[in-house]
Amino acid sequence: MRLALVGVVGGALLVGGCGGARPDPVQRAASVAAGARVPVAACARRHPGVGATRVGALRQSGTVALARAGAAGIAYVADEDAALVRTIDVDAGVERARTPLAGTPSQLMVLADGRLAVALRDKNQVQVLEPTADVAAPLAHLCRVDVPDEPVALAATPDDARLLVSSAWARRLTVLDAASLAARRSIELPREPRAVVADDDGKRAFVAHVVGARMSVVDLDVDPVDAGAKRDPRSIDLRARKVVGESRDDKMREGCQGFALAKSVSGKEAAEAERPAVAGTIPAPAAPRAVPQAATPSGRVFAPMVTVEPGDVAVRSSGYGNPVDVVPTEAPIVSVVDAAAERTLTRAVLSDGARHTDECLLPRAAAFHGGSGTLLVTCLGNDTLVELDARGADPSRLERRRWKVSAGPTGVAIDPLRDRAVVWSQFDRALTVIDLASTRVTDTPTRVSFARDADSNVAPLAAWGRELFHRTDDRRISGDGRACASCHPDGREDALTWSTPDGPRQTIMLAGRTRDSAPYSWLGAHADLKTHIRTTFRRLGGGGLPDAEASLDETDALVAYLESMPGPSPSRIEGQASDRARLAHRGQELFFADAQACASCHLSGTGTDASAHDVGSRAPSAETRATFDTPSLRFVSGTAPYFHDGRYATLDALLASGDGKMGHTLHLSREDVVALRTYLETL
Amino acid sequence: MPARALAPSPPFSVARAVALCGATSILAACGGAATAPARLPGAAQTAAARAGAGQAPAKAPARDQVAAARASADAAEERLLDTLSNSPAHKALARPLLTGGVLQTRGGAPRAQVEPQSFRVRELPLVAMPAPLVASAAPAVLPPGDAPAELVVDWRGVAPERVGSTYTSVRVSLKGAPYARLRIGGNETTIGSRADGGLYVSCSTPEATSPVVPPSTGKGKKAAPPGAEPRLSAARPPNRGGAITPARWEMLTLGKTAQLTVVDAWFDPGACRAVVVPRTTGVARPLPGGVLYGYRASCQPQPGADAADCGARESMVILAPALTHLALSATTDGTEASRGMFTRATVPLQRGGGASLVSRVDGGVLRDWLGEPAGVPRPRQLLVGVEVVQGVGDREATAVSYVEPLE
Repeated sequence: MRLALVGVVGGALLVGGCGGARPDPVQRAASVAAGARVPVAACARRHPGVGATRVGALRQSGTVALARAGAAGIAYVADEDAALVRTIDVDAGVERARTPLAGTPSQLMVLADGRLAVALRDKNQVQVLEPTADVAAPLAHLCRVDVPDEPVALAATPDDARLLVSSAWARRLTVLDAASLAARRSIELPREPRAVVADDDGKRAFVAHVVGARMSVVDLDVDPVDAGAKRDPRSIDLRARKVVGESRDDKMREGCQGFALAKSVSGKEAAEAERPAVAGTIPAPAAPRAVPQAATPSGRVFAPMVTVEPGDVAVRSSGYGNPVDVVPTEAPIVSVVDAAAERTLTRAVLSDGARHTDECLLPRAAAFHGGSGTLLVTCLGNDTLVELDARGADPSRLERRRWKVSAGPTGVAIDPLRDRAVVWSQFDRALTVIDLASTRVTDTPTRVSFARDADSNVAPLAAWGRELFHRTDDRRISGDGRACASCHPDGREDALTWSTPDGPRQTIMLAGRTRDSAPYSWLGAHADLKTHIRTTFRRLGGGGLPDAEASLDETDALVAYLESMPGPSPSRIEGQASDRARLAHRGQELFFADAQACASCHLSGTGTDASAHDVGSRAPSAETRATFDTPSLRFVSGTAPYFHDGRYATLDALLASGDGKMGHTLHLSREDVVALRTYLETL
Repeated sequence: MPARALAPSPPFSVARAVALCGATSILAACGGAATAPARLPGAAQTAAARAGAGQAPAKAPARDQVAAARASADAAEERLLDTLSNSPAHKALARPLLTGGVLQTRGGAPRAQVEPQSFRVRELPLVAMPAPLVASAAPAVLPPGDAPAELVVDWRGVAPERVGSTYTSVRVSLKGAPYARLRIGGNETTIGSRADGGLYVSCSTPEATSPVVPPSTGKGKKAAPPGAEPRLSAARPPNRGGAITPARWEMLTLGKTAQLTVVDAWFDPGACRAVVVPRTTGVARPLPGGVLYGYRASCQPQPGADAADCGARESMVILAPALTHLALSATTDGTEASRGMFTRATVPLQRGGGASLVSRVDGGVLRDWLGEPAGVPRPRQLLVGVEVVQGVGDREATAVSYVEPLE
């Protein structure tokens, strides 16, 4: 039976994208760019100078990007549910065109020559489109280029010569030639990279990370003398300490929700950035706002995020973390990074003596408004756009205005000449246009909403669950405002180990591995997801969702979303004869061999035996139980740290620990350990 | 769509439709569907009608029948939810449904919105503020000099000449400034405009050279010899067993600017006298918002003192009324706050660093601070803050301050 299982799995050998560690994506992308699958010329403009042109100087992707077609303001929207680009006339408030995509878009950006680059998250590609003279016509497809797994964000260097692509699952930053999209370099990054910006001289890229409270800095210009040398990205520590009254807690708080970045630009830069110029059609710049230009910060990279205090894991807590502190378990900040120093200027979470509601606990997109020196941040948890004064050490303390927008704001773009912000709300499929020049927040913003596509990627029930999953400040879910997505950003995990009533518990990844993985919780205490959800809400101090016996209720919706949320789509290793494929194959043999006994609990690699085991991992003080449910190993390579208490930072560390109860790995050679790890990375 | 259990009830019942729509008050979104199965869309209509007619499988369905029913149910469910989510009414009504009626939120209030106004740090007055005197540099005898007129000794009804060689507890205070802070040795206090408050110390005559008598219960005081100077001994031993101890007092006067006079003195308990060493007066400019004042301070070491007592960096001093919940931070060390009837907060100014002050001030305190009559309405509390940031490439710091009423 086991041999048959090995045969089935071995035949598939779905070796995922993991380089070095993972497959070398730059080789893959370079080979594609060299003509293996996409002719280089295919990505170039076929009709230069035709169609809409870029607006703004941000050179950074989002779910919404602005362009100008004649005098009309155009918004391109990456609708991930419908897998298409919407072309929306912002002035008229109508959709002009829809361009179906080859996959699910995460973000898009308008290149200097008017082309549109779209990151296709599930296809591991960047698709390039070209506008036509008729804004009402779909964009023309130019090419698709392979990039490392799960491309999520794009940016251009100030000279518009290079396109940067961050890949979340592959943990890579790929540098492409902006004209041909030929791959130039690929740099390995820490976990879960997201937004990327290039600095003012185009020599460095700054990359946000959803987890880890860090920002990566990558040198884009490599000295030809040591071009072959490995250049590790530098890491900026974004952790902050809590300051309450006159006492300062020297313990640094952890961080999460680092999805967005925004780079400071001056109002002048923003106004001059439209290229190529469209004669006679560009509106006059908006009148300067109240904030003096001289006071506008420069050389900054703003990173909206959330600081987290997961509690002392050596002691059990009543919930998750320490929910009764005056500074909440999760508290938002905007970390202000001095780009020249590669250091954050934000070192503290300052309490003003009150606990606040309606905080931006799920920041998802940010844009700097050079005209006013403000930072606009979309908050997914409470469906707001907040305007922060960017001049402070932590702009989150300096909220100037906020607007209610449609549900699920995932992107914001600024039209500096019209002095307006455009927000895309994925959950409601709506575009909100906000007049920033208006001093009245109560002015009703323009909204353009769209009907749900019949073939939407998200079923209605799951869409309902998605809203609940991301809702902050719902007392039924938590007592302190946290949402499900607070600990499970993108349905994944925050890479933290929490103090819980059962002992230290590492957050688990949900996306792509919730269905059919009962029982739930680290102790395997809950036979079904609904029970597990209710218990979790109770532990978070939430009152619980109402139960409707005879109808679909909100918990059903959450279950539907949890079971349908997509996981990563790692590429398969191409070529069974590659070194990496051979290693993975060897690792697979080791995994299923009796000597290691991995598969006796982790059935079929990604399955489980649905049982709890004493694996000798009970910590002496805080644990209540000695047996733990066998977790799924699906996507295990991207879920560090490991073990229920997060005691192992890497898979290597876990395999090296070999305690004899959870498989046997101590007797393996280094080469076999690497092989086993390589196989695990394919799951 | 998630697979849902079908048995024993029909796959998509009227009850479910009613519960989904009618029971949650979104009839409009359902187009009246809750009570009228005939108007349910598509397959939902069929399923609901069938359920309404009481039709049920006569016997256990075959597997393919179950699968077909499941598919039908899913389709019906999807269509109904689709109708809901796409209807205009959904936009108005569905949101409360999604959160179980009126959204319940936790206690507390949203963060106050602020309108920070910028100011230029380099335009603030620069004051070379001496470092405080240190006990280790105290002279053996009090140097010659005038006694400061602002220092008030309240003998508390006891005639100094009657103190003799014993002691009495006196109150040392300051006069002439609405706000003041006094420190003698290790004890510090702030003093209000009516010279209320002060530090309590013990006095005896200067001729008395015997050891200081421990505090008594108030009985058995001996009279001082006629004409004798009172002798002060600090309530806490001042330093190294000697009598002379460092003292510093600050006096703050508010107007269009704030004038802060800092006096460093040697205080001789034996003579109940202080002699001023330096007297430094600095002018602080009001920060935007009109509540806080600020100046830049550079530190100068006292003669004979270790230069390390002074930081090399420039700092910004913020003068404020009595604050509650003061939180102060900076990228580097060097923050300091003295609180009481007025607040003096110091933050380092450094290229490549940032500093923040966030606090609250009570409306009544602010009224006094601004010299307003009692009838002037003020919010119960105000949020005040200062942010100073200077990147390594910035020619000057970016600085803002704000004062916002709290609801």
